[in-house]
Amino acid sequence: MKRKELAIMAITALMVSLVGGSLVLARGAEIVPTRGFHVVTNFPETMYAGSTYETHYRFRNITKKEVLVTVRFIIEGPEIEPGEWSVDVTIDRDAVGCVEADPGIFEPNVDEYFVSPKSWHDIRVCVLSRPDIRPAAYTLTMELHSTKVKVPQSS
Amino acid sequence: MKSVKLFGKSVSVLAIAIVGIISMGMVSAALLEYYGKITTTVTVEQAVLLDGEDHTVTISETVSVVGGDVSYGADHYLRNNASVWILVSLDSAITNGNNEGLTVYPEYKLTPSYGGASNVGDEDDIHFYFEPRTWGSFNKVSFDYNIISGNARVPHVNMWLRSGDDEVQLTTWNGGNPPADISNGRATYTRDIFTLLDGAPVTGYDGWIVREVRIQSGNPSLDPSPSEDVQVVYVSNVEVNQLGIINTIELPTLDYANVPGRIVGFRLVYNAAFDIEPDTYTIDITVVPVGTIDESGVTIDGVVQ
Repeated sequence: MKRKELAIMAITALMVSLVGGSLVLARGAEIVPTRGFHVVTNFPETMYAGSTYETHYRFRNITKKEVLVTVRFIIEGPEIEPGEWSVDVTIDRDAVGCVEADPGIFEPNVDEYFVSPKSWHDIRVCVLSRPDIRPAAYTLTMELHSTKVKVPQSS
Repeated sequence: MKSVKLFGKSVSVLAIAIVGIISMGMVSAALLEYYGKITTTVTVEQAVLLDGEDHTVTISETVSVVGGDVSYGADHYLRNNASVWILVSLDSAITNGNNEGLTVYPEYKLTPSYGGASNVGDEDDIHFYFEPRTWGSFNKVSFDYNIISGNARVPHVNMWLRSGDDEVQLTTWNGGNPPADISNGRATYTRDIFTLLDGAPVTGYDGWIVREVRIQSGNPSLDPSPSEDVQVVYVSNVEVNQLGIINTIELPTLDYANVPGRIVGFRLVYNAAFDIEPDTYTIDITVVPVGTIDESGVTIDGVVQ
């Protein structure tokens, strides 16, 4: 193959890859359901204001790599004010420092929680409410994101 | 092999595809995300119950008072279903009638039991919570007592001194130390009456913090208590260093060591001035949760300052 042909091929390939890569990035990263994400021990159906309750979730990292785990715990109910609830999250044995990003929405203050490959992992969430919160039905939601970062192979 | 013309030159399609795919993999190597979401709905109920009902329901009672007389409302009970101790204040408001000359305040009921299981506290106590002060600045605690029946002994007082995570219990019980003063139904325990649990004097703790007094009825030396320790007594108007009446009380959890102390009983006292206008008064009782504490009385947000 002549040098000129090689140059043309390289330019063409670069254009194809840029278009393809842009398409992947434009539609966002590929999102698939977390394998085996389930409740081991749920909150009780009735909770008393001013009390601490714990729930236990499990999920599986099916990949052969460590994955970066990010959790978000959302409490929805009537007129939630900042500081009415506090949430502690533990991933396996590591305490995840959670902050109330918005009223009732708790997110880790750092996102450096990697879990080991090909194994099950535990998430425990402990919630405490102030004793003067409004008695009502509340919805508690655990969102779990885990991200597998592909490391490009050097060639 | 099939080829296409690019820039006037013939180039193999297969070669372009292979190089393109490899390059695309390198450039787009990024993220693969997993996502899961689990939602639960729970019903949250009030932790503090007043007479078995949600504490936000105001309880009203109507009394007819006579000038210069003291009358009492019905007994009420506070219960804490939460897993943490809760601080509450009691508020009472006269909703009709002329309130001039009528003083209304809560009086807390102590009813120790006896003859229960060993190693189960059968004392009854009520915990009053106040702004922290050092033991060095503590002089005395005073309260009104009103013995209705049983043992004529004035309730004793327990306190905890704290420094960081360390704590030590003080009591006026050791040796049966009586109050320094008992007059007109009011008892005063001065600092020199308090000892450590083993009876030793309280020395070297001046910088430690005190923030609650626990007025207790019953016999803490014996579990189960003998019948002669039983009494029904009301306490009220608690003051530390005569700095004003303490209106905040602690509601222990239902696993509190002293079984009778798990439920807080109280009634309202209606003290009418001699020149009050005879009338019927309706009083609303409101319970206001003001915070949570751990069992040792340290605020849940941190150790004692």
